[in-house]
Amino acid sequence: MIEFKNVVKKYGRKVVLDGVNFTANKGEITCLIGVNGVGKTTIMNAIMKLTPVQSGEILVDGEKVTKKTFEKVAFIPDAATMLPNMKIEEAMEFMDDFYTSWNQSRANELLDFFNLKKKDKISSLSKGNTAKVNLLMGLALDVDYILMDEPFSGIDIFTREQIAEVFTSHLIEDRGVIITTHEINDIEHLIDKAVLLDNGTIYKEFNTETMREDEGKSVIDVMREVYRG
Amino acid sequence: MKKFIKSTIVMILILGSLGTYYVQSAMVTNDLPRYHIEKVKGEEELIDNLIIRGTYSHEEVNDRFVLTNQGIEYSSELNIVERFEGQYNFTRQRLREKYPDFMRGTQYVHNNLYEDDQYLILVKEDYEYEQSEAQHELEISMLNKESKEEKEFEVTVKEMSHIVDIQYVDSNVHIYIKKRNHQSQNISIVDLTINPNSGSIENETVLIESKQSNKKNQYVNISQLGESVNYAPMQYLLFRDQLETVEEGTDGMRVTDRESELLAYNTETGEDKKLDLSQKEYGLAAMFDGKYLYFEVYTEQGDLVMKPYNVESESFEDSITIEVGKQRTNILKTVKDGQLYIVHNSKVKVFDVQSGDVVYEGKIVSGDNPDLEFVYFDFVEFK
Amino acid sequence: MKNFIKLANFEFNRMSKLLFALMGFVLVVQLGAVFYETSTFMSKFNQYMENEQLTREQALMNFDTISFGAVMGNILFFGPIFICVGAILFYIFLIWYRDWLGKNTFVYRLLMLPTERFNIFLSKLTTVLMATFGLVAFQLVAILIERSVFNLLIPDDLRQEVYFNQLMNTYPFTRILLPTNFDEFLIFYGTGILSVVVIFTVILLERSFRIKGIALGILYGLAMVGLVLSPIIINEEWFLDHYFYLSEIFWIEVVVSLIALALSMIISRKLLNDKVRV
Repeated sequence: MIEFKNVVKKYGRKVVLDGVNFTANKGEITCLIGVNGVGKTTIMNAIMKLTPVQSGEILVDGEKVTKKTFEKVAFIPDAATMLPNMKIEEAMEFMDDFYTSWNQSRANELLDFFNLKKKDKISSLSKGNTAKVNLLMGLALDVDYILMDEPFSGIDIFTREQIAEVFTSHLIEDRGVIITTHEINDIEHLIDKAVLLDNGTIYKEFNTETMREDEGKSVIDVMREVYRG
Repeated sequence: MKKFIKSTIVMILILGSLGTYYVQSAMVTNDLPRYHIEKVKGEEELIDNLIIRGTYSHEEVNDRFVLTNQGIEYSSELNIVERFEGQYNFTRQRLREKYPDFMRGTQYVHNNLYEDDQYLILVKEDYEYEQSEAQHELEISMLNKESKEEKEFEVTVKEMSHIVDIQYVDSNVHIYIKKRNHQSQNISIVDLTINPNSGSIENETVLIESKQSNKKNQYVNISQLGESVNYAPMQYLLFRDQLETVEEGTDGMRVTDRESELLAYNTETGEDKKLDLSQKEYGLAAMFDGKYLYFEVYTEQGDLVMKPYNVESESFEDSITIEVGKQRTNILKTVKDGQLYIVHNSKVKVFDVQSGDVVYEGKIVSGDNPDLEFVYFDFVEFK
Repeated sequence: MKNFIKLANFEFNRMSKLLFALMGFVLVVQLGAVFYETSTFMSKFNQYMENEQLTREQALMNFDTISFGAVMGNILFFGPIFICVGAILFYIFLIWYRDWLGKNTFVYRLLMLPTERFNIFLSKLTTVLMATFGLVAFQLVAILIERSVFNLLIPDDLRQEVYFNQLMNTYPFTRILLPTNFDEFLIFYGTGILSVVVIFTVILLERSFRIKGIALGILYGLAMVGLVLSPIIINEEWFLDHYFYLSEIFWIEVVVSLIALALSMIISRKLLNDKVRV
């Protein structure tokens, strides 16, 4: 379980996260929803200690984030995280060198699935393929949690479908996923939990299935209420 | 392990090349000959504070060294601090080693030091301007070597130009200074008598005064005759009082006439007398040790004759002849306390001037090798 | 430790191309100096022989010989050394900023590695040092190569042999880069390492606090310079009036420098762990 307890984050005077509380469970797909600039990416960066927070607590399975956490949580940012002059195989070797949780057979499987060639240089890849490589580096780690920042932004429709497919496959099952997006359409049917953010606070946190069953509302319905209402 | 090839190669390059370079540099120093002074006869303590400076130059080595009774030290063997400070002020170095606390804050020692068996006196100068007039503050520190007792006092002097000498006579500190009056430009040598107990100037006596002449092209000056050991107790101080006539020639100012008088001042009695020793007659006065003035003359055969003149009795002692022969090699000499030190070829000799006897003789050797082919001695002094 | 070595090796491989290119550049340009000096010298000699109608033996009597020092005084010799120094200085900044800037933000990966983040700092420091010492070591080898080429091009009777140590001592570049005394080497490169560590800390301050970090970094840098110089300054006339001997100041300096080094490393470690931003 990843927990946010009253997390406050400021850039200078600008408050980005203003007492954020939520939890994301293992085995569930939690979606952080909000317009651009509400602090979705900041939340992910904060989990990985890629940006400092002023107060509050972030716990992964009840523990503070340390170097050991990085064998347990993988973050797939929307920017490429491998050197452009590396070949895909070199990038995989790098991961294998440093992560005990690296699973090469799964990496090979993903390579096949995404139709990527090991010998290709990362800098020569299209935007969609770069995103796939990024996913590969994260998903091939045997980790309990995966954080994905805007995995669908700026990517062609076929790649989106391919990525969406990943969510229903064994590549994801049993893991906890936190995903951010500002376009819910592609994955609405996949997510278990939605966390609506606005102005640095959690507006609403709900289980999508319960919401559908009890109130008969889809995520988009709720969003409409919240953001328009 | 292919990944590690480049860094391994560079590591090997670094260790191999830098390692070889520094091992080889160290080896050059290791091969330097260990010269030392081997006693032939006499009292070894006489050369305890003697320093012979020189250069060893052979093949790739060109290294300055300092040879003492304790052994030889090459410049390349000095540590970085010693190299930075330079190997020249040996008196300061000796005193620092022996009296580290007393010597703190002392930047230089020269005429501002006095040392005898019991006392060490140091004077530090400081300038201060008061109503456009420079004042000298003299900070005097005094160490009783036996009791380790230290005394410090400060006196202020006007019109001072510099310290000439320091002596300690009858429980009083005497600071001899040269003064120059700003208006008249008259020059004088003044004895400041300071009682260490009161810490103030008890007496200020003018020893010599030279008035500037009215003629435009004439100038007076007083200079002290150099002492071989600055800090040593001196029975006499010698001063040359001179009047120079200058003319402006095509190539700048030129001294056309020089009248001078040699004055001996007795530090114990406070009396002075004129010495009648013309250069024409006696040759060059080379050295002075407080009692004897040494004149040197080369004979036709090329031998060096040292003539010690006793200032007290105003007479010459027996001459000391150093045979040089045809070799014409460098002779280094210095004097201290009525003794003449000669370094010549590979020999160190100390003569007692009064008796003319050799009271110490030593040989400069390296192992069994007396070969000084690559050695050049250029200076001898006391530390 | 294993992770540090892997990371350091990885960082080193990233700069190895540049390093080997610099080495090649140094050798080629310095050999240019050798060819330039030898050919001008030989043509001068030949011309002299011709003009004066002298035999070779006669000409030798009145003609000054040439030593390898002439090459070391040529701009083609010391120019590449300056360029290498400049490249290293530039790389001290580049080694951090290239991970943040541009399209590929490798810093995400580095900071998410399951290892002490301070290893990133150490691996970058190691890389800068290996590059520096690598170039210095290569320069030694290059001089040996250049000297043998020089010896091939100038006949023995026109050449003045100079011992290697004397050569290294004569020219300011080589005397600073490779002082013949090992203690000077330690002090020179020790100061260099301290400077790199302080600059790294300044960079991390900037990377952590951005614009505010620039001000903090400059203040920190000045404070460190002040700290290191303070023993010398307070020993001057106006305060301690040379109370301490130079040898004591030296050891105080060593201690103060080690404190500055440790302080910078502790701050850097803290910044990397808790303050740095992607």
